[in-house]
Amino acid sequence: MMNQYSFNNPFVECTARDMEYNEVSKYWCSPFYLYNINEKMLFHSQTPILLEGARGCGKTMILKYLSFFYQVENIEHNKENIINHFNNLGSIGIYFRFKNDFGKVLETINCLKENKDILFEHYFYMYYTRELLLIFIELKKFLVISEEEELMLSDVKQKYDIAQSESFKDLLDYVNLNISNADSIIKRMRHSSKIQDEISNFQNSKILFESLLVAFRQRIEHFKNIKFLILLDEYENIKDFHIIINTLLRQVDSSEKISYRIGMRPESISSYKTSISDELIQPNRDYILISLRINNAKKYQRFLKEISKKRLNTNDFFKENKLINIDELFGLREDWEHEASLIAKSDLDKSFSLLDEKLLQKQNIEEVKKLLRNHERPLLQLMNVIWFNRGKSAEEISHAMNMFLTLPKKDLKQKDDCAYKYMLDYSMKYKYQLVFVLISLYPGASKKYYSFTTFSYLASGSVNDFITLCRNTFSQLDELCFVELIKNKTIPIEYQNNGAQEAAKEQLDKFRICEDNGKEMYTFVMNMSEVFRTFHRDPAMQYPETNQFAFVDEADLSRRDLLYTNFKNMLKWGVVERKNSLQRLSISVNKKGDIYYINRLIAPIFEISYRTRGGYNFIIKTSTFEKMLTNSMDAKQIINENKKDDHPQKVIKPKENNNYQQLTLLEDFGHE
Amino acid sequence: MNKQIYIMEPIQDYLENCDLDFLIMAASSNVRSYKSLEFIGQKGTDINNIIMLDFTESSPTQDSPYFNDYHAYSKMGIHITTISCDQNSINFDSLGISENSKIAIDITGLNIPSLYRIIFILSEVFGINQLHIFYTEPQFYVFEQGMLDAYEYLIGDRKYNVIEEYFNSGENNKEVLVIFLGFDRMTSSMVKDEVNPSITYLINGFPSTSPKLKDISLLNNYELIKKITPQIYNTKANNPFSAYNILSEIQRKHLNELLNICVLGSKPMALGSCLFVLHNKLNVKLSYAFQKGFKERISEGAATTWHYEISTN
Repeated sequence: MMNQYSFNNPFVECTARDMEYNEVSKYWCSPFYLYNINEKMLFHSQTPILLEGARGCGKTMILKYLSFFYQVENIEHNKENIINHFNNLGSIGIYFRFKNDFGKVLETINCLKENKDILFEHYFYMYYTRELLLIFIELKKFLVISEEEELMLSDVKQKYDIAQSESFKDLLDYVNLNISNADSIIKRMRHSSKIQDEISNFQNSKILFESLLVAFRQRIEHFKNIKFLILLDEYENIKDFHIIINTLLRQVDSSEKISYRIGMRPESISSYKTSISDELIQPNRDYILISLRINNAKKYQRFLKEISKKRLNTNDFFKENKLINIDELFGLREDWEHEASLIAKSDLDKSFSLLDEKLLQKQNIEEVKKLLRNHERPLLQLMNVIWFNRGKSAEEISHAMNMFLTLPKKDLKQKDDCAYKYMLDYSMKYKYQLVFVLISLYPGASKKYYSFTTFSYLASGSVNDFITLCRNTFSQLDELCFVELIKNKTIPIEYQNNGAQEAAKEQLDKFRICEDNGKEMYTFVMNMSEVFRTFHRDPAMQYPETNQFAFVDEADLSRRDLLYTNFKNMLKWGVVERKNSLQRLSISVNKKGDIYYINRLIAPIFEISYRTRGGYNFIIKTSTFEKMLTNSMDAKQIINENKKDDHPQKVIKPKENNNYQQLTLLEDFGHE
Repeated sequence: MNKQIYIMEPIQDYLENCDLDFLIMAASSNVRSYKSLEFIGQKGTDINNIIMLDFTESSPTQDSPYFNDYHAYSKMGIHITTISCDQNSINFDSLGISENSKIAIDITGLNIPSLYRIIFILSEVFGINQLHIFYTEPQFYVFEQGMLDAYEYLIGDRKYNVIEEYFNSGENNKEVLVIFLGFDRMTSSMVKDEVNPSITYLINGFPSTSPKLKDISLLNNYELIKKITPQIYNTKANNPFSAYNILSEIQRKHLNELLNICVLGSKPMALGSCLFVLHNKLNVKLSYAFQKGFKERISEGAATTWHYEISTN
C-alpha cells in the first residue's frame, strides 16, 4: 500500500506565515463568516483596521489574502482582468511581516532612542517601498505599466534622489542597497562610536514611498483612485515603535488614499500615544478593532472541516479512498458511556465505595446497592450514588432511573417530575463530570480525548492548534492503520488520544520556554490546572466541569505592574483566554467581570473538561495569584490560600427538604 | 598535485613552528578550556600576549565548586593578561592589535555568541584576514538529568535573537532557516516558531564526538522534526569546513533568499557558520538561542585539541 501511495502527513507545515502566496491560495478557506467580518470593509475602509487574535486564529492568512500577490494569484493574468479586479476591490495591499528578530535587534542595539526611531522609520518605508516595487514589476509583466515606468521614476526623482535608477529593477537594487547600508550600521553599532552620525544622514525614505504611490496614481489612469493598504503583520514584534505607527494611524487622511491593516496578538499595543502633542489613538475614531474570536461553535466546526478537507485532498491516499471528511475520520463525538463501561468492568461496584456511611447506617446496605446498581451503565450507577448521598431514598432513585430508561425523553416532564430531574442532571449536567469522578476511582484509568468535536474544543478557536492535533494523530498512522482505515473509516481512539496528549505536552512546553515570563506562566498553568483537576474528581460536585477563573479584584491586579505584565503575557501568548463578554464572576456573586480559562489544548494532561459550563468559577485573590506564579503548589494549598469570606467557596450546606438541591463541591476541603 | 584547501590539524603539529602575537581565550570551568595552554607550556611556545577574557556573566563565586577549575590558568606558569568584562562589552582597542597582527583564538571556553562577536571585531573592525583557531573536544558532555530529558537542565532557558553583528534584512521577506542541532529539548522548535521560515534545514553532528550523540540530538529535537517536512543533513561535529560546505550547498538552492543560520550544536559548527557568513555578507544572518542563565560546567575531560586556520575574506 505504501508503495502505491507515498504518505505525507497532510497536516505538516501549518502556519500561514510559512506559506508562499500560492500555498495560501491553495489552502484558503474564507474565515469571514466565522468572525462576522465584512470582507468589503477590509478592502475599502479608509479607517485603519487592527485585527487582534491569538496565535493561529488566521490573522496572517487574512492579511495575505488582502495582499496584491494573493489576489493576482487568483485571477486570469491579463491586463484587463487585473485592472478590473483591483478596481473592484478598491485597493492594492502591500504585505510585510515584521520579524521577531528585527524588533529585538533594534531594541538591543547600543543607540540613542531618537536614532533608533530614525532607523526604524527608514527600514519601515524601505521595506514597504521594496514590496511596492515588486508589485510594480509584476504589473509591468502584465503590461498594466509600460512606458509609464520612465515617467513615474522621473516624477519620483523630483522629490527624492534615487541615484542612477532608470527602471523599477534599478530602483529595487537601490532600495536593497539602502537597506543593506542600514544593516551595516546595526552590525557596527556596538564597535564604533561614530556610527550613529551616519543615521542622521539618511534621506527621508517616507518621501520615496509616498512619491512612488503618487506617481503611480498620476501616471496609470486606470488606477487613479486606487487605495493602497499597508498590511503590517506581527505588530507585537515592533513594540518599541508603536508610537510611530500610532501617529501614522492618527494621520490617515482620505485624500491620501493610504490606509493600514494591522495584525497583532491580544494585549500587544504597548502604547496608545502618538507623537502629536498629547493625542492618543482611539478605537472607532482612529482605527477599527476586529477581534478574531469564535462566537459560534457550529460555524467554527464547519470552518475546520473545510480546512481539513482541503489538506486531506492533497494526499492521494485520502483522496482516492474518499477519506476527506475529518469528522468521519475522527468520529463526531466521544462516547462517554462506552468509555465508562471499559473503565468500570474490572470492578463494577466500585462506585459504591462513595456511598455516605452515615446515610447507610439505618438501611439495608445490600438492598440500597441493589436499587442503585446499574452494571450496564456505570455512569448512571455513579449518579445514583451521588443522588443517594444528597439525601434521596434508594427507592426514589431507582424509580427515577427506571422511568428515565424506559419512557421517551420528551414525555418525562409531564409524566414524572423526579425522572425528569434525573434526566436533566444526567444528560444535561453531570454526565461528563461523572466520567472524571469514575476515573478517580480506578487507579491507572485515564480519560481519553478523541473525536472531531473534542479536538475542535481543545483547539480553543486556534486553527493552528487544530491542525497540530491532526498532525500529531496522523503522524502515528502506519501501513496497518491505512488498511484498517479503508475498512473502518475512523482513526482508532488510541491514536487520537496519543495525538491529543502529545499536542498538550508540546503546548505546555511552549508556555515554559516562552521568553515573556515563560516560567511564571508555566507555573501558574500547572497550579491552576491542578485545582481544576481536583474539582473534576470531586464526587460531591454541585457545578460540573469547573475550569474557569476570575479575579477578586482585577483593578488591584492591574496596579501591580509586574503581576499584571505576567497576566497580560498570558493573554498575549494564549496561555489564558478571556471570555467574550463580561459575566457574573461566579455563582452567588452579583459582580460582573472578566472570566478566564486556561488554553484548552492542555486539558488532556490534567484530565479536565474541554468545555466551559459556567456556574462556579474559581475566584483568585491577587496575593494567591502572585504565589501561583512562582510556587509549585498543590490544589489544597491553593484553595486554602485563597479562602476568604469575601468571595464564594464551594461549601456544602445540604438543604434536606429541597428535592432538587444539588451537591456542593469540596465540603471539607482545606479543613483536614 | 594535491592542493590543501583548508588546515585542520592537531595543535601539537601547529605549535612546532607557530608565530603568534596574540592568543585570545576565555576563562571557563570546563577543564578542556585550558588544554591548549598545557600544550603551549609543554612545547615552550612563545606567544607575546595571551589574553584571558573573564566574563562577568560566567565567573563563579568563591564558594562555587568550580572556582578553582575556573582560575586554574593563573597557576600554569604562563604570563597571561586577564580582561574582565561582560559579553556585550568585548573591546580590544587597548591591546595594540593591528591589521597585521598574528592572532589565535581558543574558542573552547567561549560561548557561541562571543565567538561570533570576537571574530567580527578582529575581522571587520581590525581588518585581520587570517586567524588561527584552537578548539579542544570534550571527552563527554554532562547530562545531569539524563540524555533524553535534557531540556533546560543542560543549559537553561533560552531566548532567540539575531546576532547583532551578523544582522541582515535580506533582499525579500523570505527566510530559510538552518539549524545545527544541539541537545536541548524544545530549543530548535522554539527557534523555528520564532523565525517562521519558508523552509527549515536541520543539520546533525555526524560523526559526532561520541557515537551516541548523533542520535541523542535527533531524539531531543523530535518536536521540531515531526512538525516539518524534515530536510536533514549531517556534518562532522568537529570540522568547521564541513559545516561551511553544507551551508554552501543549501545556499545554492536558495540563492535569493535570506539564510538564517542558528547553531545550537558544537563550536566548530559555529566557526564554520561564522566563516560562511563573513564570506557571504549579502543574504545570510546568524542567530542564536541565548541562555538566560549560565551553567558552569557542561562537559568533562579533554580529548583532541585542534588547530584550524581560517581566512575571513
